[in-house]
This record gives sequence, structure tokens and C-alpha cells, in this order.
Amino acid sequence: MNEVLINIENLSCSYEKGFELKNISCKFCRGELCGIIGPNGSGKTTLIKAATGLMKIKSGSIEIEGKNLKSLSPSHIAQKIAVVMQENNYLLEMNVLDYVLLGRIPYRKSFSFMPLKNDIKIAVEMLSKCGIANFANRNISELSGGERQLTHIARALTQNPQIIFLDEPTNHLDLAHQHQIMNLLKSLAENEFICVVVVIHDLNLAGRFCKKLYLMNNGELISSGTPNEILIPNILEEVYKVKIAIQTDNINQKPLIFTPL
Amino acid sequence: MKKYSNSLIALITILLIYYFPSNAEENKTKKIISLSPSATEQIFVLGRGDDLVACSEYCIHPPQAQNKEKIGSLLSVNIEKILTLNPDIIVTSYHTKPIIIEKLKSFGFEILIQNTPSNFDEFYMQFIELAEKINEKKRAIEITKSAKNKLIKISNLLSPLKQKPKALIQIGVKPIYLAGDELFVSDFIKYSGATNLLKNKRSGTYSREFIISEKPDFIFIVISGAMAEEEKRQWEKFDSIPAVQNSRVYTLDSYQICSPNPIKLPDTVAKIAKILHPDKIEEINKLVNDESN
Amino acid sequence: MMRAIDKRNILILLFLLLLLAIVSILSIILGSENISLNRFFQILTGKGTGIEKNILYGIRIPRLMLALSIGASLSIAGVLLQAVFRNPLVEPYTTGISGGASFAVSLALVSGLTKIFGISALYLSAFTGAIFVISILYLLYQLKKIKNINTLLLTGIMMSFIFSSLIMLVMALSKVENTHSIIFWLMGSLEQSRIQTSLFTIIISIFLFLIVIYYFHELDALLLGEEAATQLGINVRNSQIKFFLVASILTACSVTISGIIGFVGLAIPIIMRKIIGTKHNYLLIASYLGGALFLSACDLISRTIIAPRELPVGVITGITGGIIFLWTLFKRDKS
Repeated sequence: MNEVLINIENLSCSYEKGFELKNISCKFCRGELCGIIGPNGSGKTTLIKAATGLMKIKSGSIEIEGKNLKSLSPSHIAQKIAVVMQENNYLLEMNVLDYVLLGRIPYRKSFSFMPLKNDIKIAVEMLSKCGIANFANRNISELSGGERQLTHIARALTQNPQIIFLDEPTNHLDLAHQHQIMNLLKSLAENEFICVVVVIHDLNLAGRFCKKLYLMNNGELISSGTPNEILIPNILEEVYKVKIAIQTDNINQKPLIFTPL
Repeated sequence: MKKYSNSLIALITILLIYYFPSNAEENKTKKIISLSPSATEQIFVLGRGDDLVACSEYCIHPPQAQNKEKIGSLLSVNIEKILTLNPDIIVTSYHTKPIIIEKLKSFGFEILIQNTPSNFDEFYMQFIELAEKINEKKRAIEITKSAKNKLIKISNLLSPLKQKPKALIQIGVKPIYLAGDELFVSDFIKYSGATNLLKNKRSGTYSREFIISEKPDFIFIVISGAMAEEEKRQWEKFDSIPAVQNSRVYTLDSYQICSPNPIKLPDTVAKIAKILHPDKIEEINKLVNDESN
Repeated sequence: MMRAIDKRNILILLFLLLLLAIVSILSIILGSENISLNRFFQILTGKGTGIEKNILYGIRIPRLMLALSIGASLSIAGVLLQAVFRNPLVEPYTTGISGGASFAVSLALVSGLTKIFGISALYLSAFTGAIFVISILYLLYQLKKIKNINTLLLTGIMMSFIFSSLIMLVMALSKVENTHSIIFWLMGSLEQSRIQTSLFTIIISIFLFLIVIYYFHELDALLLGEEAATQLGINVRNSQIKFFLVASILTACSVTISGIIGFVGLAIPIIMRKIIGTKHNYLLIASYLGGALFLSACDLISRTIIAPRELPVGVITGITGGIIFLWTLFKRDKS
């Protein structure tokens, strides 16, 4: 088995409003693209926040590469974990390269008015990895939704993380971009040997690309395993409360989920 | 011998006066700048209008003042101009911002601050103080004596009256602002033998309702501009007020009241007195026109 | 290795510097008595008359210094607050600091303190009022009585409204002269009585500017949102408090010395963002220079446009600022 990068044991935490994660235990490993699936409000985004130190832990523990999350400073966490959250409404008007360079903030040692040569090199490299090296001189506000998502991923990569979390990166994207992104994430996980965790709604995409799936509902981790183990009508129906039918996609040998009338 | 010595002394004295000008004349202030309409009026009254090199835009009395160089409005004072004109004394009003006064002081100018007086006595004291600064003290004292004389006579005539009319002094519209006894303007009523509607109350904004319930016999609107006439028309709608019933709503020139000419002040009082006591017009005229002490 | 965008931004900064130099020179030579450039140098080397020296050293130079430093201070404060609250409509006076200062000044004027202690009473009371508001907001946020940064903003806005009403209450109950004094103070003016005041504001504005530019990367991170900024390794709460305090001190000093001069802290950051971009290394410098340039230009206009009379500088900043602001908006939105 691959190295465990994040070890979550019996984690319980909550917002003040009352919603809580109850007793979650899971391990995220190197070299794997994992998917977190489940209905709206099941706690998927909350789990990401907890893993990056944004939530107060009521009980249980989170360990990053063996070290307790509580003992790590925000910059240390940022050097290990990068997050791509859902887009805010605040329209950034930044130059793409400047935006991607923000990922180097956790490594800032001293004042430097212009970005360091090394940082620029890394940023350009990450833009290439995402296939958008020619965007370096453009402005983010000019890009389409899919192109913006790629810049967010490039920025996350410049943090040189061991783990990347993405919260619904394929929302609002067309078919081509959805696949482009999922392919990119899969190859990052396998070729760069990092852990990539996506929260995703589209069960078919999840089944097609992810090595492991985590099914959540009502703040609990219902089940985890390979897509074939999780994407089974009984399990899904209980969580999604809707009739589910599954067939096998003969070309990719992956499950195809749909709702029969 | 004695006859000739007297003439000799007289001759020498006359020679001395003509050929050796008195120190007093040598020290007469040459250049005055006034930021106070009241002070401007007083400077002209003292006969030193020619020494006034500049004044504020609001110094419109006497008419000669309007031709003087303007160096300030309510909001700003052109300090550079003042520096260039290099006056010997600057008179400021309560409108002048303290920071301007400090700035002018820091350049070494002599500043006389004339704040709003709270009664006639203070007004004349300020008049004399200003006169002293420009070496016209004697003249100021004379004017004051004569004016105060007239005022006392008018007051003596009208104070003993048992039934004094109730007068309202309005100095602001929207909101209605009334003058109480602590303000300068109320002296005009006091000396004219009337009681202030606001007796024992402070100046401030009052409601029309309150005024109606107090039933003033006279209403004096002391505001400049078209607003005064407009306010008079407003009052005339409320015919339950004695002042309105008897057509005793008057507008007074706020300039004459707030920046009075020291010589003419008693005449203004007399004018108001004649309005308040129509039955005593003859007597009041006699008092004012009689110049003898 | 400079990118095209860096070269462009540096050119913009140099251009701002050039404009600043021009406006500064004009401010010195223009006035009720125009001093030619030659004469200016002669006065500098001691050959001027007493009056000229007084005008130059006592009025024009201190006033220019004040306009530059207060324009810069208000702009920087605007940049900081707009980043912290992630809201381009926030400006230095939104947080209620100016309200506190104005209210304290109105009390000082009405109670006659200024008659006894002079100008110092005004400065002291304005500054005290400002610090009072800053302390309340800081403590509420630091002690986590207010958890959300937006709640902090709303609290500031509410305080602003409350103080406005309190000031009107004071004006309604006070003597007419005092009402006038309060209004004049509120209208804002770049008159000051001592050159030390101008020196003080310049030094404070430069000092605080250098502090914030050291942390410009935190401002960039805050733009992405509190969570994203934390995920980039920033201690968000500390960052917000730090920038809030610096912005507040800059605002407090500006309001204390020159009353309320509106629009600078709101419009300059927005205009500069459209011209030089959101990255705070350039934005801070551009806003500093832009604010200094804008206010000194407006002051020059207010002194010369209807000479020898003078308009309140706030009128000019409002009108010209509004026009420039709308022009920048339409220019960019054409695309």
C-alpha cells in the first residue's frame, strides 16, 4: 500500500450552527486520485476544511505525514496541502502568472518586491503541466470557467504540495473541460506521486477516474473502497434516496450510473 | 512784562505744535485688516476707513467698505494676501477659525479677536478696545458716552412701565431659532421696554406651537434675505397670536441689529421702541433728537 | 528578467512620480502672488524678502507637504481596508473613526475647551475620539466578541451613523457660533498652524507605508478569501488586525489634522487597481503616489480656480474624483 499522507481517526468536529462531522476515520494515500461523494450537505466540504485546519476539532485526530495537525503552523500545512475551493464571486483581475505565483507564499522567506526567479520558474512549469503555459500573460478575468479552473490547479501545484484537495472542480464545466481536468488530476496523482482528493457530484466521473471513493451522508463516512465496491445500487439508493440503476461501460469497464424512470 | 510773556508762551506752544508733530500722531496705526463686519463698521465710524487695507467679503457696511480689497469669506482667509499687505493689526470675528488665528499669530501679526458681545455694555467695551488699538480711544469714549446717554434716557422712560408688551425675537428659520436674554440681540428689546418671550429660557429651537401658546404681542424677525418676508407670511396664518391679530409682525435688518453702528445703535433702539410703544412716539423722538447732555 | 507587465507598471509609477513633481512645483509657484521658478530658488538660497520667505516657508511648502501626506495616508488606508474587508466600497471613514473624532471635536468646541487650550485641544480631542473607536473595534475583534470580519465592518458603519446623529444633537443644542465651528471643522481643510504638523504627517505616512509594503503578499492572499488565505499559510486574523490598525492610525492622523476630506480613500485605490492591477506591491506604491498627487492637485485647484477666494478642498476632491472614477469605469467596461 502506498504511504499514508493524511490519517484521520475518529474525527468529530462541528460548526457553531450545529452541523457536525461524526466520528470519521479514513486514510488518504500517495499516488491516488480519491473521490468524496455524497448528497448535498453531507459534510464533504467540511471534511476538506477540517483537514486543512480550518475547523475546531471536538474529538479525534488528524495527522499529516505522521505529525498532528494541531502542532503545525498554517505555513507548514500550506506547504503540504493545497486546496482549490469553489470559486468565490469576487472577480479577480490579476495577471495569470501573478495569481499562480501566490502559491509560493508559504515559502516566502524574506521581503522581495519582485517575484524570485526560482518562483517564476516553478509557476511557469506548473502552468505547462496544466497545459496553459501560453496563458501566463493574460488576465484571469478574460478566461473561461474551464481555463480558470486550470489556473487554480496550477496555483495549487506551485505550493509543491503532497496533497491537493479540490471542491467540486468540474461544476459548471462543459464535457471537454470536465474530462480534461479529471485526466489532469489523475495523471498528477500517478505521475507526480501525490495524493489528489476531489469532492465530486458526478458519480460517473467519480467512478471513471478515481481509484478510491468515500461515500458520505449526514456528516458520517458511510463507506469507502474502489468504485466497483461503492457504486452499487443498494448503497447508493440508501444515501441518495432515489432509484438507481447501474450498468457497465464496456469500453472503459467502469460503472455507469443512471436513474431509471 | 507779564503781558508779553503770555503771548511768548502762546507763540512757542503754537510753534511747538506745528513743527514738532505729537508722538501720538507718529504712532497712529497705518494698516488695518478686518475680518469682522462689526469691526469694519466701527473702524469707519472712528474715521479710520482709509487705513483699512482689506476686509472680509461680509463687510458690506458702510458702502465704502465694499470697495476694499477682499481677503476672506466665512470659510477661508487668504493668508498669503495678508502677508503681502503686511498690516499692523488684524481684527477677527467669532467666525474666524482658531487655526487661522494661530497661523496669523505665528507670523507675528497683532490680532484683536472680537467675539460676539452678549449685551450693549460689552459691545461698547469692545468698541473702545478696538479704538485703543488704533489710537482713537478718545473718540470712541465720546461716541460711547453720547450713545449710552440716549440709551439710558430711553430706558428710563420705558422701564417703569407696568404693562410691558411681550416680544418674540426670531433669528433663524427652518428650524425656528429664538433669541433669549443672554444674546446681544435681546438688549434691543430690553432697552425698548418690552419683555422677551423667552424670559428665563435659553436661546434655541422652539416649536411654533410653543410660541402660539405664549401669545406674543410682537414678533420681530431678524434675518437677512427673502426668507424674512416668507417667514412673516407664515406667521400671518396663525391669527390666534395677538401679534398677528394686530399686525405686529416686523422684519428687522439683521445687519443693523447684529453689526450695529455704535453711533446709530440708540436710533435703532428708538425705532423699535416706537414700534412697541406707539403712544410714546413723540416723547421718544424728543429724547433721541436732543443732543445736549 | 522583467516581464512586460512589470515594465509597464514601473513606467506607470514613474509617470505618477513625474506628475507629482509637476504639481508640487506648481503648488509652490502659484498663489495669490505668483513666485517664478527663478525667484523660488533665490528665496531658497536666502535672498528673499521677509514676506516671500513667510509665504514660501510658512504657507506653501507646509501646505503642499500636508496635502501630499494626507492624500497618501488616506489612499493607503483605503487600499488596506478594501483588502481586509474584500469590499471595494469601503473607505477610511466607513469604520466610524472619523465619526468618533468629529464627535469629540464637537464636544471640545462646545465646551469651550478650545478657548482655554487653543488648537491643541482640537487636535487632542479629535485624536482621542478616533483612538476610542479604534480601541473598541480592535478589542471586540481581538477578544473574539466579534468573530466575523464583516460584522466588524457593520459595527463600524453603525458607529459612524450613531456619531453623526450625536454630532447633530450637539449642534442643535449649542450656540450658533459653535455650530458654525463644528461645521467648518467637518468640512475639512489643509490649513495648519505649524510646519511641525506637516512634518509629522509625512513621517507617519512614510513609516506606516514601509511597514505595510513589507507584508504586501498577505494583502494579496486576503483577496482570495479568509479560508483560501489560511490555506496559503497566512494567519488571517493577525493579518486583518495588523492592517486594520495601520489603516486606522493613518485615518486617525488625517482626520485629526485636516478634518473630513472625502473621496480620496475610496476612489484612488479603485482607480489605481484599474490602472496598475490588484497585486499589492505595485498597488500600494501607486496608491501612495496617486493619493498624494490627487489631493495636492485638488488643493491647488481649490486655491486658484476662483482666486483670491478659496473653495473647500473636499468639494474639488468630490467633483474631480467622481469624474475620473466614472471615466475609468467606462473605459474598462467598453470591452
